[in-house]
Amino acid sequence: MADLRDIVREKLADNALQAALARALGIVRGKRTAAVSELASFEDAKAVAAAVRSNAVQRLKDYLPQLEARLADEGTHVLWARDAAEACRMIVDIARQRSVRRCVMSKSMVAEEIGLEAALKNAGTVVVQSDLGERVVQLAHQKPSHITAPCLHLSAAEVGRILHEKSGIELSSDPEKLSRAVARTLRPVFLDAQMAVSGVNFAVAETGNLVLVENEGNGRMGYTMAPVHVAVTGIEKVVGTLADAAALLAVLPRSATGQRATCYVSILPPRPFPGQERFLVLVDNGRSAAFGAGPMRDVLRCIRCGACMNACPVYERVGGHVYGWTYPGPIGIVLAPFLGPQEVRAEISDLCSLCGACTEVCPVGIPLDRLIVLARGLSHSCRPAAVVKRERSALEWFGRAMGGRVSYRLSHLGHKLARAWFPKKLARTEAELGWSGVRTAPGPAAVLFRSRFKRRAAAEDGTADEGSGGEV
Amino acid sequence: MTADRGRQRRTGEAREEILGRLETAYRAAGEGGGPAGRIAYALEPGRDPEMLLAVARERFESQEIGYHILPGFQSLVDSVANHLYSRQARLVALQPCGLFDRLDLRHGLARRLPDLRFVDAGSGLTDVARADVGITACEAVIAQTGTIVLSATKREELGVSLLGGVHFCIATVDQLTADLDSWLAGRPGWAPDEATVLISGPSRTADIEKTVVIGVHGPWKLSLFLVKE
Ligand code: SF4
Repeated sequence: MADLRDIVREKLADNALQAALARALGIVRGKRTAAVSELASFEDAKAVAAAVRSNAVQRLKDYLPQLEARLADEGTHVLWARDAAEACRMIVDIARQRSVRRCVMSKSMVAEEIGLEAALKNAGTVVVQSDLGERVVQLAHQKPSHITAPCLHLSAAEVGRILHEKSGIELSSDPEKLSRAVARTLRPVFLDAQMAVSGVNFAVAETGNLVLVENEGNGRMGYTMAPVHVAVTGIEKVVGTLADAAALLAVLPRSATGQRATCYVSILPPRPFPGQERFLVLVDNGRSAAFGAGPMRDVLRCIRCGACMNACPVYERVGGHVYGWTYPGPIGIVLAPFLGPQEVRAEISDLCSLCGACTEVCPVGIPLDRLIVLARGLSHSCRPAAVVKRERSALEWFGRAMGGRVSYRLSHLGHKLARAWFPKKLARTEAELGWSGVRTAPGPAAVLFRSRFKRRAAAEDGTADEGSGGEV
Repeated sequence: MTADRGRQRRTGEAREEILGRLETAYRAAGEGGGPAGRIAYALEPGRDPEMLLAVARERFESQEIGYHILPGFQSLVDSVANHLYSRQARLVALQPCGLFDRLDLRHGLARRLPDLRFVDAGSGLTDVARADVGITACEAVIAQTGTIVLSATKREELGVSLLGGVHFCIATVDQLTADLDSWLAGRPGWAPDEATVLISGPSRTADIEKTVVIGVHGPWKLSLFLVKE
């Protein structure tokens, strides 16, 4: 497996990727700011949405059976899956028993997470992704790089080339022409599909309604046209009431795409439409483990808006594929220990500068930066023990040195002497810890900041006030 | 049947295991959370009809929703007919609803546009999909987000607002409400047993380079006829 740092370097050197990321994230950040400014206070809205989500997560054990009973009474089949393989098996069975030849899939992160497309294909069902971005990455045999904008990493020219080569669409780099052309090719697919798979944004325990949020209308096309509708979702997507769902609908589109509302929000009744069968597949796949993981339980509040990756300065430079699994960005880092497949690298928790931009924008108040630190702790078990031991003792020494005025001064002196007497050994240790691999470790300053500050204050005041500088 | 029973057994086992894990972790951590409250907006139109209309208009404009404010039902049929004519619509799907029956909309349009054809009530989805324009009524219009609230019991009815290239929606000014929250608050105990769709603009995507393109899988044009009567 290639070194993560090599992959990062490769992404940083990819000018097309850098341009695509800068452009897309610039636009989406601006739109989010404008949409959020229509709320009386984002912080207050965040507190409301956070309360809705943490109540829901806290009461999962009650809400899930309530939802199930509501749906089952009305004829929707509710299936429970412990893991990805079980969920795929169930859905493949549904397709097999109904001789489904063609399945149309609208955007579902859980379907992506469990690898449903591949499972259905292996069972002989033709799967067509109907969200425009998903369709592009499907044709390109790539993975989505963002949870709400799957082909964010591609330029219009690249999309045009893919669509031309794989789907025979006239070569173009005009987003309008390309989008319409893809929609035209998908129309007959909707009319002919025997099964539609969709995600669920919120499942309402009290009323049994399934809430689906989208812009293109492909989700609506799927569940309207197909005789079988399979909605697949994580067990954490339950909310108590429709009013709870409404509170989340006020922050989700603003945070995701910078819209005050998406074009379509479908609130499906618990009873399937006449002439249609409906299934709801509730997938655990590590969520109950996150529920039992102390403060990490907060990851289950996530409503998959993608705002954290849009705000993340690391995502902005490396894009989504570096994270190596379905969920990139800050939320991907904290979900990985629970939901991630085995091959997800533990080091993705290092793709973070702990700037806290993600926490600031998260509409459901997930303390992502703090959870990333905890995720790093969890990932330590996967790192070489010797490195962890050395890092830990170095940080212990650092903590002691910073803990008091005298020890701080002594440590400065010690560092200076160590640099002078054992420069090679010190450089080697820093390199082994990975601290100076991509940056030059600065030497100790000739003049302490404290002294410089005092001198400057004295110059400005014309006096040397002993107490004004303080310790740094 | 055997396959169904096998699936039920497996999903039953999974259910018990998942709920068991949640129960165990729940007992360890205990109750949490608290009341959620309501989300407030910078601009709250309240219940004043003029304010509601002003906010809604601003939203419609920025969300590319065409709107026509009409003084009464008298002018509605003329206005809808004119817009169908200017769009060169030949086949129209009408949502079956009491309002359209009372207005005798179908015959009113047929009288004004003799060449216009209608998708027959009770037709299948493929017929609805052939319509140039779908015409629906609505349950409410939400000012804060410029949203039309539709409901439907059958897939064919849902198709009327989705499958044609153009969607006309007819509402009255007294259906305007401030926001989704207050609309729900006005219907305590509401448990929708029909599909409800909140529509806040013609279908769109920004998947390619974040460039907004109007008209993808759903209609490219959404027009609201808002009757003051
Ligand atoms: S963690 Fe927060 S910001 Fe990130 S996707 Fe989830 S809800 Fe959105």
